[in-house]
Amino acid sequence: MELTRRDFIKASAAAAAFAAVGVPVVRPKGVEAAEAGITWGKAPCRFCGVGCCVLVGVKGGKIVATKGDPAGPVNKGLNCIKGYFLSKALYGKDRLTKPLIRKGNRMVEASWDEALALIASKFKESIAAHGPDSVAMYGSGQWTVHEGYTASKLMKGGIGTNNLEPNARLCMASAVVAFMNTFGSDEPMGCYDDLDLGDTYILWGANMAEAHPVLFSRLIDNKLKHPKVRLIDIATRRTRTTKMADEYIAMRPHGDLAAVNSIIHVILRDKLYDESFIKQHVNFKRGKENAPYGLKDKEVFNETPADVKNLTFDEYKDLMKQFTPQWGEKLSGIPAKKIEELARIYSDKSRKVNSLWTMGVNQHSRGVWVNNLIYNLHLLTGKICKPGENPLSLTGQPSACGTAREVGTFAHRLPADMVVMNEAHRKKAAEIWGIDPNKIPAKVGLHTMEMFRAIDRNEVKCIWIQCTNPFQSLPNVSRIRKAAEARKAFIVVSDIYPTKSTEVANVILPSASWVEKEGVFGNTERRTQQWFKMIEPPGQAREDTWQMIEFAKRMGLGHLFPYSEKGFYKEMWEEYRKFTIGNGKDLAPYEAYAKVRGLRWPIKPDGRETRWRYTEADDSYVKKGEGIKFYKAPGNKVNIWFRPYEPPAESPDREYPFWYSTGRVLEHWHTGTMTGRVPELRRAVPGATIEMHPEDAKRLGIRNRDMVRITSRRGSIVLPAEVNGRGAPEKGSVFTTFFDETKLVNELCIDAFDPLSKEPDFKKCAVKVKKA
Amino acid sequence: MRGQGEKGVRIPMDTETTHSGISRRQFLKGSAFTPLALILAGGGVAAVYLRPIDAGGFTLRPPGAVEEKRFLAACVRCGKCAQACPYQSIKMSGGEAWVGIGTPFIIPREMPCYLCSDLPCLKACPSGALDKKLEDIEKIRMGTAVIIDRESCLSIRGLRCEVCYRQCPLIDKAITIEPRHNTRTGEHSIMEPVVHKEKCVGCGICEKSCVLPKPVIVVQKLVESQKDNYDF
Amino acid sequence: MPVSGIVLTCGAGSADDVALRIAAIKGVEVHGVLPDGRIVAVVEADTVDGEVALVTELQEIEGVVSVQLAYHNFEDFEAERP
Repeated sequence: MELTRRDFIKASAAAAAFAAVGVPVVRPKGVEAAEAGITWGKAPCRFCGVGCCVLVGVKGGKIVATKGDPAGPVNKGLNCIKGYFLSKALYGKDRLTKPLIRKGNRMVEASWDEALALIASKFKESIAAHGPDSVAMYGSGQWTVHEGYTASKLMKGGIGTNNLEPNARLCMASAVVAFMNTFGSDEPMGCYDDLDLGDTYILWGANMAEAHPVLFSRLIDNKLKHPKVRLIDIATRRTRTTKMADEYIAMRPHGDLAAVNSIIHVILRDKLYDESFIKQHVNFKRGKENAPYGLKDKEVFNETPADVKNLTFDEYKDLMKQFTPQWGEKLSGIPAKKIEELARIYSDKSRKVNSLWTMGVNQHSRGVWVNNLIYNLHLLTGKICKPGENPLSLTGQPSACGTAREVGTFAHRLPADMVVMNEAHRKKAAEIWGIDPNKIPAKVGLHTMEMFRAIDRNEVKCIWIQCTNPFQSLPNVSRIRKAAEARKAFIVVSDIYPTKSTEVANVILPSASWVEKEGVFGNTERRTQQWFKMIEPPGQAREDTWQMIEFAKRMGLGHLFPYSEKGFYKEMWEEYRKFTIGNGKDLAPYEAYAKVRGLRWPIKPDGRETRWRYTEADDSYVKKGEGIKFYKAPGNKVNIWFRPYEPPAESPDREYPFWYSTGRVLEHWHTGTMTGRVPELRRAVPGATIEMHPEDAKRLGIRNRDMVRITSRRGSIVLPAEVNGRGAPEKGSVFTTFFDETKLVNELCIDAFDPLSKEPDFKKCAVKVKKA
Repeated sequence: MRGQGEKGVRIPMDTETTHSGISRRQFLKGSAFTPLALILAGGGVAAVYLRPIDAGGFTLRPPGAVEEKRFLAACVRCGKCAQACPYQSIKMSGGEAWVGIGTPFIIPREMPCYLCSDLPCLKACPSGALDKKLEDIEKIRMGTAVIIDRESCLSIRGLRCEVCYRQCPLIDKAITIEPRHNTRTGEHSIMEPVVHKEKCVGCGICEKSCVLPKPVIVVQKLVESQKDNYDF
Repeated sequence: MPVSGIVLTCGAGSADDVALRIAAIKGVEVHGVLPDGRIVAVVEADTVDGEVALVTELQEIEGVVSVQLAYHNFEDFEAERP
């Protein structure tokens, strides 16, 4: 039988089998004939941190369809429409296919040799004159694991600088710092199964309906099946999540910092805590306060062990006395009565309580503190490490976990929770990498905000940006755009389409995307998913690993990548895997991932995945009889942090009377470079709008679709108003999205950031609004 | 087809259209006369011509349009409503519209009605074909949106789409989401968009936004309400 | 080249494990795991005898209660006869 006919037959066989069990087939009937000649492969979705499993259909060397993989445990054949149109995202007309070098105002086609030679010479020049810290690399939570690992080895082990940052600094950094300073190890202890098994879900500033679509579908199904399930949406804006929640609690921006403290106050006041859990597992700590907002260049703020005070439980209780529900109401806008009620829900022994959060809490100038406070709720009540009952930090990007965090492509990190500041960690990395331990610098590199400011200050001379779009997405983006346009640094951008970042580059390199290369991603629930290359990249586009290794060779660093051509991915994986064995981050051998729809680490000795960490019920690091053991925390005790309230960096005032917040919609991904090239998604949501409360709109004489000018101290923009649409900000707030490259909404955002995580606050600054 | 206006008169330009609306000038100059002549010559010949604007026996008229028979009588084919529309949603029909030649219509998939709160099209109409008594955009009844292909609708298949719902200007009124258990996967919910005919204004933004190649939600003739009690 | 659509019924809670195991077997493609513990798969082999052997192997796997045939295609059957 020909291959094509066989595929057709197999599709019919499957359809018939499904029909036999009385199950409607995922695909509409009659489509089997059309699908003859298509070969299918598995991959995780290219978009959000949910990490749906997709099937990619290839015919004639092109992707002709993507669909949810029925065998995928995350999504069981479902997708959101971004995933449904994934194949189209790779086939925009203006796909980059040749290296381009800037000559004056024009970008001129060049060969790979020319481009790489130029990049190497510029980097060498800069390093010779100004040292290795004068160069930098900015990568991505959408990098594959191999890409991140190559970058880390190249920069930290080769060039000898820690100036390596991922765009995950703008997304998950606050969550990471809190994981580390609370549990001693990054990433959640629970998994998506908690969405099926719990009965109480408290969302803190997370629009799951649009940002984690298939997970939300799963959560709502739990609610439909079990009347006891309660979903509470605590937010600064009414969304589609609000619509399906049981309760909406309006909160003032930055109010989470006060509200959670007040809830803790009630739990302590009324003795709603689990005394034995606390005794067994918890230390109390107080950190550094009166923190800055990162508004000044080079501002340094670190919470070192010397800054940390140990507290007794009684001392902690005393300190918390000031955060009464009335105090909480004043700062958060949440009524005191409601705060009392939330405290009772969090401590309700008959309920399995979960907290869910993402950017509302992380992109916050005190984001680490709010993360800490949410963990406090679960640690005080002992509602953690139980199936169906966990705090779940939702991840934004497809591999912020798998690549940026687990490989550690940050200015201060190394793989597997290790840090550059620690000599033993550097030694271990050097051993696995086969290099002199003194090569890896102990000095922490520039974090993202400082990295780009350093370009403006002429201190970073060369930067290589891959798989991300900072010249559209960074807050107060005009500053760095001006610096780039003034040619203050030599900028290399590897991407798949022209973007606002390639616009200011000196060299543009065409990259392979997603299934145009082999790769591995890691999603929110620690699920590592592998895929094989399925099609060739267009033109001369090449995968980022190849680009970096070719560059490395020209820098005399080729010896760092001694992998064979055929075994490249497997060999690199097995080397990286060494970092993870035996320390609770265990990954499986490469072949294991090829066979299944992902595995959640730590992988047990028998090869099975772990759904719940730190509990004898599922984690093989915890022996029978030990119950719950936080084996990554010093002394096996986790930290409850006392964190006070400190105000936002910029609040509305007489001149700029509105809150300005930014976010996403379901239809578009981030800066819209991919989804913006899918005509169907473009048709669905053509451009950015400014959401307003109807009363504010009326007062200002603004009707739906009227053009509105929004101005902050940093920039000004005109957008059509959206009133009574899918999202309703509270009075005195406006909201917009950042996917529209014709509207640089982030020009208005303030470049203030959390002092511990260095993550910018995209959710609050002050603007004035008037009809345009 | 390009519209070339008389001096001072703005004629809607059709971009990327598949139908054959004509410009007012062409209509007046008689370049449409040939098909018109054929139409008038006899029903048999004219039956060959496609009539895309009223496929399914329904033409989407601008807001406030009176009942179709009266509309065809009242509309003086002046084109003022089309000129008033800031989105160029209102087009003017050509010979294929038979008696309706020169009357205004909307093709939502190309450009829906965006419900301007001051209803400029209505205000511009000199003849009352668009009834000026209508003042509240929520009371517009141009037609009713209907999901015509449940098997293809991504939301009904269990995927997270619901774009029609989220883009509906009367979100949660004209279209709501009715979630239900997805029996195939066993652990997700199907979020089905449901149209409520008493609230749907028939603007067609849903039809425009549908992400499938052929929209599965389209604006059709007004669906009338029915009572649950009987008159004897 | 016979191709069959089959439904495996698995014991309580073992469907996921079984699915992973059989997916690794040459000639077996798992197409879905249903919430009630049944697995839909497609098997193919070089000959009908080969296919019988494969299905027998599946029946022996721990956790599999039964294997039922839902669809069988044997277009080249004629060619296999000596």
